[in-house]
Amino acid sequence: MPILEVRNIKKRFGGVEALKGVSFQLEEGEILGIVGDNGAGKSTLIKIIAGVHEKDEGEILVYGRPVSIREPKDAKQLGIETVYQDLALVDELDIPANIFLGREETFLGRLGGAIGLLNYRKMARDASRLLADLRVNIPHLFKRVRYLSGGQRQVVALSKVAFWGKKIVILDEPTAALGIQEANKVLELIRQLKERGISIIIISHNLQHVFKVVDKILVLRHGEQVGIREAHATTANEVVGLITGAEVVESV
Amino acid sequence: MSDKSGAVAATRRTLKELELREVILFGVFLLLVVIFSLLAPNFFKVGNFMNLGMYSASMAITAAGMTYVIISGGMDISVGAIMSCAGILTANMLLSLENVGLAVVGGLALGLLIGFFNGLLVTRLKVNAIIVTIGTMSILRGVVYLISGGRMVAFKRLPAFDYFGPARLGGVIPMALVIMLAVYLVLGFVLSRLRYGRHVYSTGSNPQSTLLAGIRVNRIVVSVFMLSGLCAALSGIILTSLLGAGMAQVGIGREIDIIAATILGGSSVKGGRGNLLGTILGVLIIGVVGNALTQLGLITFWQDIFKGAILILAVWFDQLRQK
Repeated sequence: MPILEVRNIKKRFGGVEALKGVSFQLEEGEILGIVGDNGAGKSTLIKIIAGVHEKDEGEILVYGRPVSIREPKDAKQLGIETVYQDLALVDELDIPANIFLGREETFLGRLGGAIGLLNYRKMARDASRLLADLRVNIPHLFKRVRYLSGGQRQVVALSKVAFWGKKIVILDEPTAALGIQEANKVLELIRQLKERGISIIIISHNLQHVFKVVDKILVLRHGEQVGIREAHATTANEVVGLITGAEVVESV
Repeated sequence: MSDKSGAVAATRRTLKELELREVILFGVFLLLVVIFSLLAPNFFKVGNFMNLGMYSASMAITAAGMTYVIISGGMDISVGAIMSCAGILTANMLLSLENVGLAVVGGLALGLLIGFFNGLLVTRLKVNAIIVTIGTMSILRGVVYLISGGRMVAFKRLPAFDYFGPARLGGVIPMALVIMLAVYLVLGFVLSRLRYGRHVYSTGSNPQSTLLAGIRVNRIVVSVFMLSGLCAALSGIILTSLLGAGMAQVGIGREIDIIAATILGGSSVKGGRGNLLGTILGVLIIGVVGNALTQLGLITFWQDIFKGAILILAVWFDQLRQK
């Protein structure tokens, strides 16, 4: 049974049809790439799954059960974590504070939990253990994340997801604006998440990066689903053709 | 092992951050004290320091609430007017009811209520907090004069009310200072040790990410404005107790000193940064400058010029630090 299934999702903003009926299935431990030009509807699609936008039509099923996702909280409760391009981290907080934001560990049982007495030590220990487990090397655990490089920030954001996202992770342009080495590190981390049995959806403009990690590719154009391909059974050329519309549109 | 190294690193970080800004501020404070002691013969006197301490205490309490607001990415221009309003209300209630408990609770409740409206307007109208609170400031200034007619509100002296100002704990420390200390200990603890405090920082640094982390950002914003209103009201009540009468002008214009002190103390107008130790040092520096300028016989408009200059310099330093 697919862990996540999306059926015939439609969304319109005023007069613009942002999504004209998109469907896909995501299996456990699978990586799905969503590609398309600007304005193809990629962001709208993931924002609907993440609860930022509400869909007009269609169904979302988690483990085969229809679910209602109205706000980000709903998605989180279903085990769907999203890492947005620029919104993943809070600049003025350090790494443990970011990893635990909104789910802080507290002392003194219920009373401590109620007043929110922060357990700095436990959070620092868990954060450093997590980074070690993921073979991530960031020297300054207590630096404000604004001082980290783009790659380090992305790695922290993904580690956070590994820590909390139990089932499904959505990554919005995880390698955008990264150098080659940093991008490779991030891709390596994405493979590790997959090994942990996490299902992943990646939005990316970079087909090279997409092909390095994904199992399936979903192509959108002008809000329309123009194709789903198995990564090993297609080529970059074919995908580019679908993105630009050079290839014949397959019936959905 | 990793537990220990984590804790050590945390301590080291705290020390490092303290080293820079707070030590410099403390140095500036000491330097000013030395300079003014040499320039103004009446400056370095116990009596003067007591005076300075009591009035700084009231400023410091308002500045503590302001620190929360600025860290959360907001700004509260109405604090001075809230100080006046709460002071006048408390004085009037003392006059008519002769009940200290009711009068103080009334003043504090008014502060909370105004803060609540400030927060509500900022979150619902989605208008810049500076504009919203300039509006409430102007309304409150008008209300204060309507209530008091611009006259002093003299009330029968009740000994219990002295515990909000001039009464001395153990015959030595003015209660105004004791209350300030208590406020700083509690609010400092909340800001640095509780989940709520961390969410205040997070809201100021990046409200959208904070919202995505499942934190109710609007509640945080409303709550910091309520805290600021409460602090300003307490401060107005303390001033009323120190002066022994309700005066409409006690808080008018004070927002400049308080904002300058808070930013000088390291709270960033971009949000997400600041702490109460820095704020109290900022208050001391502004307080000492104001006090010394008076001692030196410089009339108040010179003080306004100095305070404005300090505010702009503090913002400029903040910008430099961000780079």
